[in-house]
Amino acid sequence: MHRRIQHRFHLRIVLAAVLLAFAGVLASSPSITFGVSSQGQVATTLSNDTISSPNVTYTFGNFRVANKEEVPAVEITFPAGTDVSGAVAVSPLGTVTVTGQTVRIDFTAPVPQRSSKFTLSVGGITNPSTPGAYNVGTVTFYTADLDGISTGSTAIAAGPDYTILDGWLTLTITTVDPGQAVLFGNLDPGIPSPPVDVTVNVDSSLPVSITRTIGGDAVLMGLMVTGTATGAKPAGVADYVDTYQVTLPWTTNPAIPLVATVQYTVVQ
Amino acid sequence: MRKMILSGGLVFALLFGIVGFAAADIVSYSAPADGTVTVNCTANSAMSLTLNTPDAAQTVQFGAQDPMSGATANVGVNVKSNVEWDLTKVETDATGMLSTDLLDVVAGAVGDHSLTDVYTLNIPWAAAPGAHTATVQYSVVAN
Repeated sequence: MHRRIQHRFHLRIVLAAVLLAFAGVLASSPSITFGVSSQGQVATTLSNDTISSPNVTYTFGNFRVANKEEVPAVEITFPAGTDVSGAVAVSPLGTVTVTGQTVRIDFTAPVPQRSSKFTLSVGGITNPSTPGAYNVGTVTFYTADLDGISTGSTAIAAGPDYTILDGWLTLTITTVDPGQAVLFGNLDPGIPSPPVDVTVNVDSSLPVSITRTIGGDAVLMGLMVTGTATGAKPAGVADYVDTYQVTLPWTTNPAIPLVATVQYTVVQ
Repeated sequence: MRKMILSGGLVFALLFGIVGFAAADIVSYSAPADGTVTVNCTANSAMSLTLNTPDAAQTVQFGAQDPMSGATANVGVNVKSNVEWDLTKVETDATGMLSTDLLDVVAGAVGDHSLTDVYTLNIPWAAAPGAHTATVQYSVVAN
């Protein structure tokens, strides 16, 4: 009887020792944790998917940070042709270091443990100049324990390719008279004609520069063109309006039809 | 050649019909990077004569003057024309007391020309006191 009690006592001591040892291993080993994982379908989204577009924000996600771990930094290697020299950390905020095509962000505050559905946004990127399918491959998260001690890194696939589309540029000129013309007709010298508006519509995937070149008999007819259809313009669709007015000089020979031209050149 | 005559005192232009343009169809044109607007017009043959006198109503008022005072006044003569022109001047002065220095006929080219005619009053001692009036008519003729 006494020996059976003594045996049970020894078993309990051994079991307790084993449990204590296992708990110690759990507490001390970083390899047991899960770092960062994807949450749902990881995707790459772009604020502008047109070729050569500047200042584009790339967003990657969603991700989840494991229990008792945080993420102090991340590293992404963008495909060749992508200009990352102006990369900035949009979210989370952090300090950016660019090496070649690789952008490393050391976060101002580590992404805390158990963060779910967090996304990573990198701005200031200029898209490749060639349309097509691209992928950053993997997003590498650097992890640390709650004391800030590195626990290694986790690379997560960035998901399906994203597509960079070709650019476009369209110029549409609208005049009151047919044939893309402004017909002032017969005018007296020295008296300003009624002003006539010409609308220049530009639809561009990139910022453009509009050049207005006036030629022909513009001087003989005293042609003045004022308005907004000149200079640097942002990407997108916009109407720019020029106003045409003629004040014939007294020195212009009468009865001779005058023809002037106003050429608009739009360059991306 | 068609002659155009403008008489002094009035400022006007001969208009050979101002053709107004009404709003027409809206035409749009698309091009990849450039487009050209054509601007058309034709100048009417025109001229104008403007007289600038020191006094209102296109007059020169010398007021009360002593004999032999030699009072003077400037009259501005502005001619605008897009054809060559001749300016002629005709004085109607029964008293003979007014003299002007601009030539009776002045030829001019196209453009904007400003001339000055200096009026000088010469009242002889023999002239009877009282109000006197003289007229000077300017005419511009296209040639």
